[in-house]
Amino acid sequence: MSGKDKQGLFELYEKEDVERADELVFGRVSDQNRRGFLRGAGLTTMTALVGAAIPFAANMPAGFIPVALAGEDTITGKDGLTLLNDRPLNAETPPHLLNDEITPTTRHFIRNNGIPPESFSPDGWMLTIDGLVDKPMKLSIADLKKNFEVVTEALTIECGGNGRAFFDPPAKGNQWTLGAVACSNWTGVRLMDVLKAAGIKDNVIYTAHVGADTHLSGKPGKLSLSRGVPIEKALNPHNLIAFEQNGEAIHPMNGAPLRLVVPGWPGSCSQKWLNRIYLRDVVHDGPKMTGKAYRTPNRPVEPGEKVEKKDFDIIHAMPVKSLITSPQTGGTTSNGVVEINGHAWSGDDAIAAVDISIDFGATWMKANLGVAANPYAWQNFNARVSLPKKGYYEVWARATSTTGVAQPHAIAWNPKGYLNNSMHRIAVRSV
Amino acid sequence: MTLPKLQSIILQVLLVAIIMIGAVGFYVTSSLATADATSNVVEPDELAQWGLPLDLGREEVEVYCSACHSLRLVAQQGLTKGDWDELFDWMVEEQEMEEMPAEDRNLVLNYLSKHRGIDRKLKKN
Repeated sequence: MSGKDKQGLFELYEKEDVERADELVFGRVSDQNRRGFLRGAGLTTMTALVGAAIPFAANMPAGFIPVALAGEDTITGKDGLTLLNDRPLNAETPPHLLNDEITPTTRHFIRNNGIPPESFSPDGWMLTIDGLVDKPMKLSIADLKKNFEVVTEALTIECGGNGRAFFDPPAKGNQWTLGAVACSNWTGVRLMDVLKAAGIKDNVIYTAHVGADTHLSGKPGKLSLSRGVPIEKALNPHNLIAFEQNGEAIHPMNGAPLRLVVPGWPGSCSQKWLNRIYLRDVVHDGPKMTGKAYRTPNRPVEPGEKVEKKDFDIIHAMPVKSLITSPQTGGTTSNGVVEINGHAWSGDDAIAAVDISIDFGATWMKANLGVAANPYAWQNFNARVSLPKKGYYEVWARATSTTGVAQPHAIAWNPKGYLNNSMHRIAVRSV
Repeated sequence: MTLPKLQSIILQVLLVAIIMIGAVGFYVTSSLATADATSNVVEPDELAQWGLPLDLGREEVEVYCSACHSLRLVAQQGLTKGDWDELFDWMVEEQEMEEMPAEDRNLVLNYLSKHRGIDRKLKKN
């Protein structure tokens, strides 16, 4: 089924009341206590779908969808994502589905650390700004829109652990391959403007972000993740407190109704379901700020080496990287010509060049490199390559940042499996 | 029932079935295959497909690990025995896991280091 159909159903069940959705999908009408099937309306359809009579059909609440129909792993409002984990929910996008210049909401990866909040409604959602500020504030989403300039920017968010699956020996955590990265349009207000309105005290060195999701253990009040950034990074004008994704409501699993977008740094800095930011005079020590989380060794280490906690540093900017999004790996060409498309991005920097090789890195050609929609948006590249004779080829892409740093061949192994920016390779056969 | 009417119902059912695949009420729905001695229901061993084959200790893995997170997370990992042991300590000390009785902890540790060691193969997506 196409993404459009899924989106349609998602919207149907989100926007319509459940009785209306029931009627549209099943022809079902519930009885007065919102259970069962009034005069059997819709029961035949549902019975046929589950393949058997339903003895307790009278107990089925309105809006109930038999689990037997779920079948394949499906994430509502997402299209073609690969599920890594369902509790907490983690899903990435295959590279060939990231070909759009701006990532559609349906194809933005999901990285949850805890249990999402129960409501994603903007009504009544409040953001607290406090800690070391002159004037603590409590702001509704309407207050944010009213009091601060609203801006829209294309911003790249990449999970710190993207590429972990290729680590040898393996590193703990979700085994992301290539697709925990996206560049959607985000609409919101500048984090900088809001912090300045609250008045940043002179001794502030770090932010601390809090979201409404809860810890997997279910322990009340325990946070699953609360990260922050140095105040210098927080004051970058491209960080947003966002309430729209691609001009519409943020996808619930991408942080609706309010989230931070701190582009260029590990995705975990971009707190989802944001309800509080406080300013501190120490490096923030919330969950996943300490220990070895989102940290790499302060020196090169041997694969598999044990590294002591004191030798780890907090990750700041994400490294230079590129992704070939067309053609899909494993394809064939009958005329020897391959049109290459992809994206390149680099932490706080821009991309200066993308080079392509079809001979396992022996020779390189320049790809056409586009300009970023705005700072912190990924840059699109394309190239046309001609394969000299029939056979197996790999197309490799290598991005170089404006600071002159290029992607490596090999993974700089680290114990927690972060920052794998080794070159992306796809297979192509000329037949 | 007339044939055209039957065809029409089958078509309608197929159409609705296709639509329904995307219409789950949960964000993700998947079923864990469970062994139930009292039931005659034959279910695919989905855990084995993920890389958690039936073996001594799997039941304990299911019970303890799935209390907080999906077994899919377990199935992705590949760690040395020492690292698994350290991971249990971390979950107990920092993630609100209840300490496992020593006998069960051994079963879990032995199972995971045997089937989810550093030579583990990731399930191809």
